[in-house]
Amino acid sequence: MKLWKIAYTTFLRKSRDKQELLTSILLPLVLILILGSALQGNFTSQTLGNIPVGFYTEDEGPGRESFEEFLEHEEIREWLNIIPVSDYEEGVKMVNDLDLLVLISLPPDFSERISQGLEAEIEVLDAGVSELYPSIVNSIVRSYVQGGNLYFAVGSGPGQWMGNGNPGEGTEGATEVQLIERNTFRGDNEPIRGIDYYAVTMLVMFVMWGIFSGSQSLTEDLFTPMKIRINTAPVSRLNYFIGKNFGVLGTFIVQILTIILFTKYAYGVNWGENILPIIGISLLLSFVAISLGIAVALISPSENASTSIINGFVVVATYIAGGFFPINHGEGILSLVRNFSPNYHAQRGIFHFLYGTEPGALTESILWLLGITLFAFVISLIFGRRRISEYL
Amino acid sequence: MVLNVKDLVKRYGEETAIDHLGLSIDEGEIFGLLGPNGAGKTTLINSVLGLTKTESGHMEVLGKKLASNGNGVKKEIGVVPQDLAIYEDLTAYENVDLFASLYGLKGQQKKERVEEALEFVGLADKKKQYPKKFSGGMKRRLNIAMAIVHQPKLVIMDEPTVGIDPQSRNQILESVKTLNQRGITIIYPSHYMEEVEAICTRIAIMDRGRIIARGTKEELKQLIDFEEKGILLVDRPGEGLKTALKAIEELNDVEISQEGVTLTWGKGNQPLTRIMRIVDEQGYQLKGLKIQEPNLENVFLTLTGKTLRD
Repeated sequence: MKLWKIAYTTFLRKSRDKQELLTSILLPLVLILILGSALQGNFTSQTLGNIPVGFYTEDEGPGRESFEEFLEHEEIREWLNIIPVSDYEEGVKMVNDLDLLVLISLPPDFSERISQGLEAEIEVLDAGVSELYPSIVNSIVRSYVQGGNLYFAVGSGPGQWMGNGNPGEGTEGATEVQLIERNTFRGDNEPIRGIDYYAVTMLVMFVMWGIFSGSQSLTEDLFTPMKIRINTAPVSRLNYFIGKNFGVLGTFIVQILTIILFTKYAYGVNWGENILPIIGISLLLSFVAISLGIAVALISPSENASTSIINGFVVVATYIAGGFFPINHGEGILSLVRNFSPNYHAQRGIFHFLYGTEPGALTESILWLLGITLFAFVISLIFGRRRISEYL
Repeated sequence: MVLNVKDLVKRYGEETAIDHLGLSIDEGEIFGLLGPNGAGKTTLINSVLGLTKTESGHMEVLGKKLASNGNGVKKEIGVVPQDLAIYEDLTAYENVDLFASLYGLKGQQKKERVEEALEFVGLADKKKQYPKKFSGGMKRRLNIAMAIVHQPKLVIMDEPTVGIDPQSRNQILESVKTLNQRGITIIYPSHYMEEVEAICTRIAIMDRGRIIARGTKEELKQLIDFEEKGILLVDRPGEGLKTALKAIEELNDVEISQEGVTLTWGKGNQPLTRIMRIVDEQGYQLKGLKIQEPNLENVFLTLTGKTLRD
């Protein structure tokens, strides 16, 4: 009873804060429209060239050499940024994470099958962010397939490798190589549009701004005169605190529902048929935001410091998650650092729910989000006891 | 007994905030805790409320130990914090209603108590307004309403009149007396000597974490050997009058000032009849006589060697 009264009152107070309503609901709606329209170019033909393409094969034979030499051609390099990938699963993950827009894969027995005169495959897996990128890559690979070098000459019969790896050479006794095209995205097969992308990233970013709410839920009562009232009332501090955060969570639900429903019906954003899982991921992210907010409030020496930390963190977390524009993390430090961005995991979870074919990604995202929450609680526990006792 | 504290010790590092303090407060009292800032009043109150851990000592509130009867005791206590503890974005009614709920009130009873508390502090007609539109005095009164809505047996009012206009101050002091008349015991920590003197039935003077004196205001005044002062209000007093007055044995000092003639005599040795006679003999017309009696400020100054606002 007391807990719900606290939750209701907190919700009431938050819903009366016009400035907060503007920044948490209206601003994301405006930004989704602006960014979705203005940066649609990132998702269409305006950005050509240097397409990040992964190349994976375990084939060690001349078929691989031939294909690699083909990819090294200057004309192809103008279009494609070939990134060797050492593991197929990792390559698929990079595509799913949009680190690669396309993955080209040769099977381990590619050369062998060619040598034996059997049919061989080249797989092209695309991220589905645009129709353009896979069509460019497919055209290039198709030119290889259709070129002379794609009809591997096996001399007078299977087993003899005649080609030197250059397209157009060796045409006799050919074995056909097939191009297999795969799109990682399911559903209606519509490519992701700018507005779809930013609807997700802005929803995630503005839920993350909820760190302020988490921080405030702690500071406004523990570090202000209200702490005396709360601590002398016959209600446990934990009860009060949970009630407050239920209230904050209520405001998150309103924020999330408004953004999703408004963008779905007014902007035509693709949120899929069932929005419940997306609401679920967003609420989990709200929980992350609240717990991080509490941790930040407890480790910050002052409210100003806390504000600066939160502002910096949300912007950086959004950036490295590709929230402002899709970025290529490659395999360097960024791909490692992004794991500490709650935005990245929430976006990944939502994108995979809407478009993905990698079932493990959703679970992985949820586990990461839970892990970050746990980390925030451990930090709060370590710093909290001392900090709270200082203020009492 | 509403409060019973024995041998209480609280330290902050090397500094002793409460130094082996003992105190007992009976039911129905308005008990003033008088002392300058840093005397240990707030630390004592926080200890009583269980907000701060103490090194040693025994403490009972309303006959129970707070540690083992936390919520049971808390229900019987109302706290008016020194700084305003109200939510500006809730109406006056909602503020009081929230704390009524936290103290376990429900339904019709809660509604009646909230209305009653707002009525008591004179905010019934403003119950739908937000405190941000209130004056300082109105906010202070709302601060009180939130502490008394559950009708506690003990109310701790930590300097509830800080920074408000005299009219609101008088209103609050009157409400403190009214609460007390309803049988509520009040602990009133303050460094406003006049307020404590005006409303408290018993007073403890605190300094450096100890209670250095306690009793009714009259008992406290008895503790000090105070020189009483009087000012004779006469037109243009001359040296002749001064010399004649100096001849009175009981007078320790006679000074001519702009206001009149300032006279000092020992406690209880007031030679008023002879003073009047000399004024008359010297041909002056007496317009008045102001007598300055000892107050708690003098008591405090005498006992500690410093003023309350040091």
